[in-house]
Amino acid sequence: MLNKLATLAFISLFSCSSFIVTAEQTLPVLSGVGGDFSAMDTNGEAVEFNHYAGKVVVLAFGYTNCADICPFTLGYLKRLYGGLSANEQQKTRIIFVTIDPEYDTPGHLKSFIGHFNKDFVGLSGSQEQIDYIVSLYQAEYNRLSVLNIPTQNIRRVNPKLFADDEQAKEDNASLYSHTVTLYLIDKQGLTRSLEYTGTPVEQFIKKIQQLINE
Amino acid sequence: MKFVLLIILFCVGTVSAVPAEVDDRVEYTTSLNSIASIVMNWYGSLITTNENVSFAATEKKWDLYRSYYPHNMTQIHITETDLTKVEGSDNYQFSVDSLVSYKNTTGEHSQLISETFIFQLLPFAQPIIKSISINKVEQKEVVHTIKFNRAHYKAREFAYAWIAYLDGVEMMQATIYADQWLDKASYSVKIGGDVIQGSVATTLAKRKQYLAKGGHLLRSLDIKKIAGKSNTFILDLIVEWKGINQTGKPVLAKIHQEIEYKIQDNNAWHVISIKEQHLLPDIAPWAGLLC
Repeated sequence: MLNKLATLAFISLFSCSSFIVTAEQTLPVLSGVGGDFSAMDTNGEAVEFNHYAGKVVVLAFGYTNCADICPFTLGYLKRLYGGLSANEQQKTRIIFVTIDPEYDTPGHLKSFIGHFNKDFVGLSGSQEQIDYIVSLYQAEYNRLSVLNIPTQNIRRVNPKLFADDEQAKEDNASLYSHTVTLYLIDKQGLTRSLEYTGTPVEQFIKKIQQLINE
Repeated sequence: MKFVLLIILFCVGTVSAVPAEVDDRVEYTTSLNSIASIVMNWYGSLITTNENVSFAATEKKWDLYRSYYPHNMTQIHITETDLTKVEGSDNYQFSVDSLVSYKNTTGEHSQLISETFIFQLLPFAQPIIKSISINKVEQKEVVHTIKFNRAHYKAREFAYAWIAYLDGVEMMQATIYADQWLDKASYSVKIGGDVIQGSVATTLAKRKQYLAKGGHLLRSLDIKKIAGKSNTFILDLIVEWKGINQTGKPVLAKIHQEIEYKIQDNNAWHVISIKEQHLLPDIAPWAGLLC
């Protein structure tokens, strides 16, 4: 009798432990944010987002010619990734999707991303592919020239000297404003949280760990 | 032995904790939405204007109570509401403060009326008004703008009944004129890269994979006239949904619905199509920030 009760207790404990995790859950699926997509990796190979199923993903949008926010974001992601154990890093992917596929070729993206961490994944693709990914995550990007924002004095990764105003105007097209959100995506590809570089790294790590352990 | 039993009891308690949260949400939203729909009918039908907007008649037994309201009401602006469950019963208390505008021989006037409705509400049934009492009446400064008219209440009556229906309150079908359109209208849902399309019944069945159990709450409502189509409008709704998906994971959705409808000669609404898209939920103030 005691043995049976002990077995029952063990089964109950086992089953309730999964419910306790669920009860602690503060990361709801954000319905309609994200989904499967096709892109090109930094080796120029076609890749499906489903390829990362089973990994926890942190996804960010940006472009390599951004001199301020994107390097700052990647620096933040470097600290975030560095805060995970080697085992947790294996179960996590940091993905940077360029919103400027014309300039950010796979090779270009590879050297830029590699500067922060060799494990980071850079994704580019056709303009249609990028626009689809942006729409899936309900993100946004705009060329600053379209927004009529003067850009001559904005810092950029590859500074250029302009011979005349017309040239400068043309180059405005290579500067963008874009969504700064960091999307935390679970092992099933479902977006579970929206973070940004203001999120304390320790807090973000706990959320990643929670999704790894689901 | 006692220890083993304690462990079992502890676990049983923990297991039931999560579904109870979802059940609470379902109970709260279905009761709020179906009661709100009845309240919209109550106030809309009190306004006496020449608009071609009809409301179902309220029960005869409330005629005397309704005669105490000022006559010739031009608008009713609900300024505050509060829904609470009456402990140990199927009853809900719905308190409403409203600013009522009306005309009489001496001109235009406004009154603040504070009332309490007691509803009896059995699960997934239509709410029944058990009692109504006026708590306070105060004369107020005259309000001249006419925004909260019969059409305002008709749209809200429909919207609350519709989202209650989405949560399984079948009894709201009469309020949404379901017999006129429910099996004819098209319903499309876009959730990320997934698109569901079909009739209301087939789309709702597939939608359940994503939003299995939970509740809808109305966040905003707008009505747009469709140019070139007579008596045809778009009811634009933003609705928040919380609950669990088919696998039991908690889900949060910000739902945008565009309901195209035509007002028929008998003033009934005939829904032509429903287009739904799940937007970025408002969980992070930086979600909309661009750098």
